[in-house]
Amino acid sequence: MASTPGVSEIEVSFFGPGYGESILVHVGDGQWIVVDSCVEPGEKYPAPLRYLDEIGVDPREAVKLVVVSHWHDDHIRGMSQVVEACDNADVVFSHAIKCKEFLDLLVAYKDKAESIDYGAEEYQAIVQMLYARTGAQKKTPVWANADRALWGKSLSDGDQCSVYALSPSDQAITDAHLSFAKLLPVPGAPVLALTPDINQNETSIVLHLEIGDFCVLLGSDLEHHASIHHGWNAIIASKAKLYSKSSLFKIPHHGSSNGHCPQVWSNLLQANPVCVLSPFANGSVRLPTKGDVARILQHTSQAFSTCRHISRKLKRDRTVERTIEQFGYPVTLANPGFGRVTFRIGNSLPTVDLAGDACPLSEVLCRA
Amino acid sequence: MSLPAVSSFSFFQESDSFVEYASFASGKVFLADGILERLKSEGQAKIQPQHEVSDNAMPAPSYHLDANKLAPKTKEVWIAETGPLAERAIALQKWEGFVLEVGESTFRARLKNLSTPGYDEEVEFPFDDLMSEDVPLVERGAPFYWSIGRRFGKTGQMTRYSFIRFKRLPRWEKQDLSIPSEVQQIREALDW
Repeated sequence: MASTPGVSEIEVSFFGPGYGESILVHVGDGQWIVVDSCVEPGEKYPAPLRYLDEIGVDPREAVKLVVVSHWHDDHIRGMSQVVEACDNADVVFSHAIKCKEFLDLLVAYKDKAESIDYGAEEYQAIVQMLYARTGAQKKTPVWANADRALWGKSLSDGDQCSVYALSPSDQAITDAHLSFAKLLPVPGAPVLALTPDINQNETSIVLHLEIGDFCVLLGSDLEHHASIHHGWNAIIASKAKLYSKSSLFKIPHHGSSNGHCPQVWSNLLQANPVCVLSPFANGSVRLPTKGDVARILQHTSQAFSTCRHISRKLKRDRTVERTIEQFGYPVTLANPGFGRVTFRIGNSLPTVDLAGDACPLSEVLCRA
Repeated sequence: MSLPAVSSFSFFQESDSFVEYASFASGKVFLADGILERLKSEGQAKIQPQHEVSDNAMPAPSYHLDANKLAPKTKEVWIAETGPLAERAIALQKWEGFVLEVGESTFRARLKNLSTPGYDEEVEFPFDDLMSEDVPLVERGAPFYWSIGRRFGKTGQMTRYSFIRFKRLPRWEKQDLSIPSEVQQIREALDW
């Protein structure tokens, strides 16, 4: 059973249903940060709000910062509800979408019945909500880019809490702005269900949190490329600020090898950090793979996953089941489970609590 | 007056499929409370009270029917006189989907479960199971509907069906893409 963290306790909770992730951070003094959103299967309420509700925290008062790391479906489900519930919080967007072309895309796809793209729907709702707000809730978004301080607070125990964005890089922002212009629909082309696909991982927001001596690195979906102007290499190459090494790491891009940058482990993380990832299942892609797990476990003995790769069947009408079997269609749940990994550190030793389908990374059932 | 002997009676539970039951039964069907009102409102059948409550029956206006209790008792019964049998189908499960990946002979799709909201599913379909006119529509992001259910023929024979149908998509028009004032207003208000 979840409980409210103490005033000076730091808590970082990771939620994941097998396709999706969200992170909640208690920085101290009853103040929280939400990073991304996901929804438990069968539920409508976003996982971070549900958790806050469970432990008796009012998101309207407690949440100070809501970070929308990027607009991939698995990071944004339920985010408009989060923004609505946390209407005193600053909302952080990637600087990559701060351009007219992105809004043109959003508005073009607005109210298109053919669209079942959660990312576009959630962004449309958030933008409309921010636009409609008045009074104290009327705030412009905070734009995240590399080496930008997003939020800071002096805590009652004397510690200082600072939240920095380490990405997107300048080059990723420029590339994204150019891409949006090319993605605008062309008259005569069919209105598809999905907004055009671009490499959003490049534009995702990596966060570095410093709370007293304790540091957290939240890797979002940022990928690793050879260029020092993109991805993790751009962070490693940055001379803007010397960040303290983190002892808690949200592994980027669901543990995929394309998110692995060796210098992150040596330059930005302490030895044997506590690591958490959320798995990913979409089409034929399943992350992490066995190779990913083995690679991560070479760097840490304290790695956890918000969910196992499990197979569960949805209960349905027998005639429907027979028909599916008769036709031989492999129907699987995209989100077969749901789990939470909660890390806490206060005056005593750090603890990790696993709830639901969360498990040590070594126990994740993976495809080779 | 006593209820005429019931020579054959099929008890059925109220469900979304009761209307179909009424139609393929042999012209007359006994109806439980609630079903009667729904049939009336949907204009599915011509319905008339056929019998009065007998002198030793349960007090009116209760006319609940129960498979185990009906035959030996007398009470008000409603009979629906239906039209000739017609082919019909009942969807038991519906999905809305979109194509994720297109292979040589199959495609993978993400499904939004419309019957049990909140559960997304994935499936792989062979192109062979599509109508030929739908095959050219399969591309990443193409939306479609999938339903599974029961189909009743004119003889009342039930078969199971699976039906995949790709949406015919509208085309982008110039007015969709002209720069609306909404974008400018948002940019100014939110420093976008």
